[in-house]
Amino acid sequence: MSDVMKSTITPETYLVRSPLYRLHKAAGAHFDECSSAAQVTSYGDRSAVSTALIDLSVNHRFGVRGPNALAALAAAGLSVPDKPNQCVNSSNGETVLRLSNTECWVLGAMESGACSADSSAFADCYPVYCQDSHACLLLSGEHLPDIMAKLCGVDLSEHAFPKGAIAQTSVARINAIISHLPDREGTHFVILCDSAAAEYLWGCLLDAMGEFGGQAAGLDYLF
Amino acid sequence: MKMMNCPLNGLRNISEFVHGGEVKEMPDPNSCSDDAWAEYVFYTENGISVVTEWWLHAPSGYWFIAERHTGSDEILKTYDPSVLFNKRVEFSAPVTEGMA
Amino acid sequence: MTSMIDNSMRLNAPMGLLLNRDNAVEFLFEGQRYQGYAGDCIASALLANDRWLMSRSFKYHRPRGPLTMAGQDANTLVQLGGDPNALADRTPIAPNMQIEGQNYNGTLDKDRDAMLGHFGRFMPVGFYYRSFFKPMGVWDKWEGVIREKAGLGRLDLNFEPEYYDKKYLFTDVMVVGSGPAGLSAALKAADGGAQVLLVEEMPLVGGALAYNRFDIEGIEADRLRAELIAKVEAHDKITVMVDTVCNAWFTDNYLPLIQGKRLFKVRAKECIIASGAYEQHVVFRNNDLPGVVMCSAATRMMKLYAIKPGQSAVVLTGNDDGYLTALELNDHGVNVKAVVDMREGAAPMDLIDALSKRGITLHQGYTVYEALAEKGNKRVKAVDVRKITAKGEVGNASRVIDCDLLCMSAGYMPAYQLLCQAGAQLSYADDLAEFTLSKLPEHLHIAGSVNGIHQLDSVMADGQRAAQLALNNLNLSDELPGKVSCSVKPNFDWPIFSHPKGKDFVDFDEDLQAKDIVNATRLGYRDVQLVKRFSTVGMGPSQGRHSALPTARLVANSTDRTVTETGVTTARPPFAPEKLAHIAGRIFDPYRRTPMHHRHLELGAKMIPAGNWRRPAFYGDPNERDACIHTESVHVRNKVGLIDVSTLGGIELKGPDAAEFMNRIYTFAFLKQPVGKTRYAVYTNEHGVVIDDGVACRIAEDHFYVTATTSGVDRVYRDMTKWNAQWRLDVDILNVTSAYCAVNLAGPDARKVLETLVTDTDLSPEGFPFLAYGEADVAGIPARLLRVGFVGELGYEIHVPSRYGEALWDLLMDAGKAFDIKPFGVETQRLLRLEKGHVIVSQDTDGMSHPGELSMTWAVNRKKPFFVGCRSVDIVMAQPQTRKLVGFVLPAESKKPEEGHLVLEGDAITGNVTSCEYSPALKQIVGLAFAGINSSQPGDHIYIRVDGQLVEAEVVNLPFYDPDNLRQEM
Repeated sequence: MSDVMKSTITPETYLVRSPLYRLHKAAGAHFDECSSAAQVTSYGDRSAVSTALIDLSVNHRFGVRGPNALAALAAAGLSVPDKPNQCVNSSNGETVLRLSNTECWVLGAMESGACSADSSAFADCYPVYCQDSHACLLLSGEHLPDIMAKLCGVDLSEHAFPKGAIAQTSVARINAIISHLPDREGTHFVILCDSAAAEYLWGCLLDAMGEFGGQAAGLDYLF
Repeated sequence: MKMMNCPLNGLRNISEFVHGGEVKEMPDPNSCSDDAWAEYVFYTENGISVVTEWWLHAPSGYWFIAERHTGSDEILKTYDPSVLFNKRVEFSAPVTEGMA
Repeated sequence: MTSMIDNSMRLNAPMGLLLNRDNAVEFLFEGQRYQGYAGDCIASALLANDRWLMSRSFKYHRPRGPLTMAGQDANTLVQLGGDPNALADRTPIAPNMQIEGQNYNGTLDKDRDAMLGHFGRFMPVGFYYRSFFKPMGVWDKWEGVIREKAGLGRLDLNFEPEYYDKKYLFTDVMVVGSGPAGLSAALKAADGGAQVLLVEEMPLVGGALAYNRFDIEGIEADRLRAELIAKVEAHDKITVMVDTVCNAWFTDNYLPLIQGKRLFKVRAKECIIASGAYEQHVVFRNNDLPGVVMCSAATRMMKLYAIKPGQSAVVLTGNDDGYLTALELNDHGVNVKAVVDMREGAAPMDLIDALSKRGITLHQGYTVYEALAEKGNKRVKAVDVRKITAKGEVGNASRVIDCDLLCMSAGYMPAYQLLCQAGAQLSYADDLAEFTLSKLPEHLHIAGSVNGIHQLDSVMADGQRAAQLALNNLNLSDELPGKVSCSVKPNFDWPIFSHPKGKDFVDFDEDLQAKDIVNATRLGYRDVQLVKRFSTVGMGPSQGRHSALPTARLVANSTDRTVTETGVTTARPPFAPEKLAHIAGRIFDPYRRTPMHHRHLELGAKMIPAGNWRRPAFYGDPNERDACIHTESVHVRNKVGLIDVSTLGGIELKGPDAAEFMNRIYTFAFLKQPVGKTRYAVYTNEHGVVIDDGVACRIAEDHFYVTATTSGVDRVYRDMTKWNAQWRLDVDILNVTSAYCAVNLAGPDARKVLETLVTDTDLSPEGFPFLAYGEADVAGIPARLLRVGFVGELGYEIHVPSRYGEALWDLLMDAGKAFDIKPFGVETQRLLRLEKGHVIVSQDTDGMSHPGELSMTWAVNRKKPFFVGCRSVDIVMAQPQTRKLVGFVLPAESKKPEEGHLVLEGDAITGNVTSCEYSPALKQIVGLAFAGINSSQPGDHIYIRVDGQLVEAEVVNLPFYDPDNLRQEM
């Protein structure tokens, strides 16, 4: 897509909007279309930034639960973690988060933002509307355990919280699900929080990152 | 701050948990005496002993059961509620006398 | 302004471990300019300029100078700009820092209130309690005067808030204190494979190794310290934090550390307390004069800050350490006139020889009975030395020795605070005259002088022993820890020499003398806790670091008990004074916003809190509340309005047992609720009290969507999941509050507006009647439509996935333009529903309200086997009812009752107003109130006390507005 086209995309063009789109717009971010919504592609030059915070809220995700949930996802060709509070990548780039013995969430592949299915495709499972109930933030780069230690009482250092681990805990006094993404170079924490509290947590994370020079960024930080 | 071991999420600050009261057996609400019902609703044991309690891990919405000593406040063990509750509970129809 | 640049009291390097002599720093004290070096604390920089008077005492305004040089006393509290009570012996100087003394009237040097000391005998212990107790009100008259004289520093109320924050730290082993015990413990634990955090309160590691002398030659401390530091620095498993105080011990080794403007919350699997011991003072007359210091204070002055503490000195000791201090002073050119040893024949020969080789006189079995000073008490000038004749008693023969420095050491008190907070037991060993600690919790260990181990090699071994215990608990080792013992007794049994003229201070912070403590016991306060509260001993900033031991001894002695029986007062957090800013940190105050939040702001909404959400109260001038609400309500009644109701709770129930589950939770019957219909749902708790309500939509046979109140949904959801953890029904329970947002489109034109956006659903009164539920496409947005009538007009609640929320609002506002749509706020909604007589659970109900009182029995089904509150509802409903929630009206011009105003029957309170507003639709005041059962029928009158006057209101049938419900069923 050309630069001219990019600059014409504004989040209000779409019916679907991230709860954070105004912050991005106010910061002069560039958007591109993703899952019928505007996804931040760039927040300006972030090449020298050690830690980035990226809003993936408009990326596709869905959840299923119930006694059949794990088997149904596996039958659909997705990789399902062996134990609760773990995540694995599937071959199609989607990440499966296992939150309990009977509940998994599926995050769309990061670059495309899309999922190959939806919870409605799993008729014998109960749907979880995590696309709407939760905002999805990606914290990426260096000092992540130190940054999170300012907000969260769970030890997220590499030895206690390796790649593929999930912590369902309290971050800055709201509930959140932190996933340490597997199979990806560098450290990446996906943070899922109450979508109504997205603006609050976004501010808290940027504040905590400031000490380390962390900044908001777009998808171009990753690709 | 105290810590508690959640059977699903592991050792966490107690601030992540919500106390749900003692595990109590409900008398049959349609046949027990008023006194037995009042005992169930209003009274809890307050001795120095091990108590069995409901606890909720709020961030994951997971209820579990903990055995705690009220003297030392030590949490002796925690486990999934299915250990104690493993079959469907039914309620009998109310006694209809006087309700004609 | 004159400048004092003196530094005449400085010693040469290598003295002054903390100093950077290349970096001179100028600062102001009491308006006078001084110079020190980077690394100096305020006290050392002033001492370098031979300034000893730094502050005045709390009660008698006595001149005070440094006592411990370690922040363990309140003698040198100073004011730093707007910051009171800074410890001069711990706070580093900074360029152009402005420092002032505290507690004086006039100047620090010439305090007009210094004569307060002469009135000391008229201000006995408990003076304030006893003098201002009667007559009633006398304290109110005197309080201002007394506080003016006795305050500590000044607060700057125009301060600029600064950024403080908190951070978690996680470690296997945390070691508190970096003296020889802490260093050896840290090394042993790290060598064993544990991650170690070593915390030191002072700016440098080493503890006593950095300032104390451990041998006659004076070489061992430096050698050992260098060796240990090299090892610690080279160890990648050890993290060192200096200038960091561990301020408490909380359960499961939760340890707050304060460093600068950050509070660290440490979680340590194992914790080793090597906090050391506080050197103790000797109680004699004028023991508080500037120039009277602890032995360790003198050595700290020399080794840490290169300060020569005096020209001529006397050392008063009850142990061998005083001898080593004398040698250190002598080495640095201080003329040591005498060592006065309170013991008789206890000192080892090599120390006695070392003194005599240097020509230092030794008096064994003697004490200082009084310190003498020039008029004004600004510096000690001599001491009166006398022979000890019995416990606490001296002979008449007096020997006056001139000196400008008196160093004292009566022994040590373990730094027990953190350990006692953890539940350790403190008991007094009579043979050692020392408190010892025992009964530690499982993952807490103790090492070094705090453990009563004082010989250097034993201290090191004790650190290793503690580390071994920690390693064993961590499953990193299984060796047996070695036994460590110590043969040294550093404490003198009775270092208290009361003087008939007093000023023999037990507690320097609170100006308490020996007789004050004894008198408290004579007045009947035998318990040390009561002595503390009566006399205020130990309540000052140093929290009994020096007063606890002599107080325990004095109380034990005068009440014929042992010191163990007497004990010390409870040690509570914090260990050292901390700022509220540290506790507050960077405050986290979560808030939630609906997807339409910013649209409300753009439309000029006056926002109000609703739980952790913010909601529009109304739109328009915040000062014109009543007019705005009036206009909005009339608009909804006559045209069409739009309100954001996204904060409503939403719970989804899905599965074969969904209807059975609904039936068990809510009071109504739900098994036969038709698909595509809504039904009112009331939730009672097990006490039979109504605690929430909502609307249940049956989406499918096995699928319900039920709303809950904004503040109640979390509770309802938790209760539901807890019940089903027991019932094991085949149903999935999902909290969808944030997943769905919603608006209520209400007013006679609501259908017309919605019809412009919905093409796939017949919205006619027949096709989508009152109480219908359906799914529709609203201009591309998948929506759930509920035809409900909370405000009493034709209306649709439109629930959509949150991501579409703002677009939905925009579409409706756009489509509504042709119909003059206007947004309305939650206060307007409250008025509209009041006109319809709808109850808001928690506003119009309280913790006792059962369905009968609220006229909700129509929504309670007692033919079904069970609902949560069923039995309690049966029981309370069988009792005679005493009150009822009723509607009342008053003429428009009447005084308007407010929520909470009482309903009276004669003198008896029978209820209270729960909601009340002027109704533009009815042109009268309408309200809901609990009324006594005898005046709850339409036509009865109730009496409401409004601002002291009784207002008579008439009870009427509900609803007030549109009693036939024609408008909402249009």
